[in-house]
Amino acid sequence: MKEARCLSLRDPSGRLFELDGRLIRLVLRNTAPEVQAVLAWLHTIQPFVHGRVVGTQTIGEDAFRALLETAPDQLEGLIDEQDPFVLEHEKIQPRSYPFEWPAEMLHHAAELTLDLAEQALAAGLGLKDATPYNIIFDSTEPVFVDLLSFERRVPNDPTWLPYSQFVRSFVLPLLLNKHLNFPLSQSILTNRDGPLPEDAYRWCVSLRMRMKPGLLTSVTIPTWLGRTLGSDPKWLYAKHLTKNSTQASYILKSLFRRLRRVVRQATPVEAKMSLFFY
Amino acid sequence: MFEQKVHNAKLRQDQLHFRRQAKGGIQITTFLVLLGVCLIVQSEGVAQAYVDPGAGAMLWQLVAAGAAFAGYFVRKLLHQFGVKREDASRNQKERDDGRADR
Repeated sequence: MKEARCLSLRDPSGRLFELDGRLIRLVLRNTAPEVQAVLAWLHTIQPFVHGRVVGTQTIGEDAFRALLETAPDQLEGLIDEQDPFVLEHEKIQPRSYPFEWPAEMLHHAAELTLDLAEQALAAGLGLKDATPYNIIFDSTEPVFVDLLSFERRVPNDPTWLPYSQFVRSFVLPLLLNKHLNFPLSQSILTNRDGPLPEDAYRWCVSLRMRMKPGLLTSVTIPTWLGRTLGSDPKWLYAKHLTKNSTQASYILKSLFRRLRRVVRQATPVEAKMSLFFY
Repeated sequence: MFEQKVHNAKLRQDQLHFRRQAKGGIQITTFLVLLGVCLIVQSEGVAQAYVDPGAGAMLWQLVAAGAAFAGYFVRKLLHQFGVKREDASRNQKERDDGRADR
């Protein structure tokens, strides 16, 4: 009897589980066309994504049924799809988690997320979440592993919904680590999505600190703007569409450029090693 | 000679006057900026109601999107202007060539 365990927490589009050391992802039928489009897109930009996005192959239905028969008891209840679209991912070992990483690794992961978001934009796709948990390090190289994070974008939508998540989970821990020597593990472990800008604002006690490059646009201004809003700003979350897709993609490109600048400003300072007293 | 000296002295006085005025302008600007900063700092901690954690970032994203859109609009306008100018110069050249042919 082979061992099977579910690894997905709250994924609405599919389920990932480990079966006898293999990583199998079941994609729900209604999401399958989107995932197929993503796979086709990844194939077209193979030189760019090689080593940056986890290797994936589709598994035929017969092979999947044969796989299921190896562990029918453990998989009972995990699979409720009659005709699923099945993928197998390359397994990366050993697995490390963002709260174990030094600042340099988180910085690389942030750059990879922005690279992929920019590449996806050109293909009419987008990232629906931007968290360091979507990235695993294969030796020293970051690899994006969550294929179901890619989705078709509304062409005229100039907003990137995971912007706040990106800032909280990548930018703020890096900035706080750089300017306040705040440990990354503390930033990421206390809140899965990273610290709130309002909390970071409180921790940066002086006005001079709050005006520092990166902190001004990621902490200070959002906190001030947040205070001007009412308790339930529904209008803020309504879709703000532009007249055409060119305008939207221009705005998104400028957003990614700005985020890249902030990530550069949050580049960790090289630690100086002192061997004087050894 | 005396008139020349008086004229020069007046010029110097005018220059001094302008410099003072310019200094005054800078001082007023500095004062306004400082006042703005003081007002912002003073308003800290006023919000007592629940504020959505992502709201500030979302609003900032929209503000930045507005600025980017303004940039897009200006760029498009300049591009159109450039194209028109190019067309106009091409038309002029064609007209000139036509005249030369005749």
